[in-house]
Amino acid sequence: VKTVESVLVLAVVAKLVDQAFGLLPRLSALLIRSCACLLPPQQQERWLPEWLAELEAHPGPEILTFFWAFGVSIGAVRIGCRARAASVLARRRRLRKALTPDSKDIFMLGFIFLLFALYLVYRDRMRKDNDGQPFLGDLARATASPAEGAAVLSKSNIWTARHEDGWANRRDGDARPAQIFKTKREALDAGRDIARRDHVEHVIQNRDGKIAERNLYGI
Amino acid sequence: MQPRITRETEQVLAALLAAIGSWRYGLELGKEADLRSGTLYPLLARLEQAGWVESEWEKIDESAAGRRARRYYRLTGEGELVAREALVKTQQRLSVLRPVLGDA
Repeated sequence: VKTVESVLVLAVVAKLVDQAFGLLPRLSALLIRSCACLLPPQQQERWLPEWLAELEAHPGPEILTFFWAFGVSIGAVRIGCRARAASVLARRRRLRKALTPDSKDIFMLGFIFLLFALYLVYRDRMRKDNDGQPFLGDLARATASPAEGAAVLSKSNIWTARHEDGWANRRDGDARPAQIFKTKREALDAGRDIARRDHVEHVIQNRDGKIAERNLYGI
Repeated sequence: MQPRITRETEQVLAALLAAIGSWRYGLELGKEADLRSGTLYPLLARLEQAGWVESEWEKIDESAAGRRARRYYRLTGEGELVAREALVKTQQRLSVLRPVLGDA
């Protein structure tokens, strides 16, 4: 009974193998066709008819032909990869060409840098010029905190008047003079500077005590 | 871009150079150059792109001949020069082995 069974199994296996081998040529063609699909159309047109013709002409037994077809499909993948790599390289080359700056771009870039440098120089000069002078930014800063603002506003006027040692500058309400000078001219100049700095009124008296001038250095 | 001349390239070039003056098709070349199909066809594609090899379809009546037309290959003028140069170089490089291997 065992012998009969094994013979039957062998027969079934043989039949299956035979069927499988009968399928091999079609499988080979399918393999080549499907791998050729990976190629760009132009390459596909070039190679597929040749491979199918050679598949038909292949002399060996079916199993060897199948191995040959398997090799061809690997070759198809390699050709496809090479074509794709070439197109990627070409695109990269095009991109690099497009990104290379020409003379016009460099000129524009230089112009922008020049404008920026000019702006920096101008800004520095403005800062230097405005040192000690009233201007919007400084005022905003001065009045930013209430205490500071009050200090600025509470400064009293400057009086330039005759003094026993010459001419003096005195704050309104102070008993003692802040500065004493030999000449009226010196006292006047210094007083004007203080008044300007503090944005207050500069009052100038004559030798006899009469007010000669009032100058308001307001905001 | 010029293809690099690898050992496989040399094998194909040698097979084509040996058959100079006649056409060869893929299966023949594979046998003569001792290359598998996965190597041979990409190689032929590269050589053809470089202009070292040219190919064309066999002009036969398929039904009369009872088989499909073949795609035939041969070396171009430039390809022949390249092949000669490469193979001479290889020959010279290997000639130092003559005392070891003998004349055979």
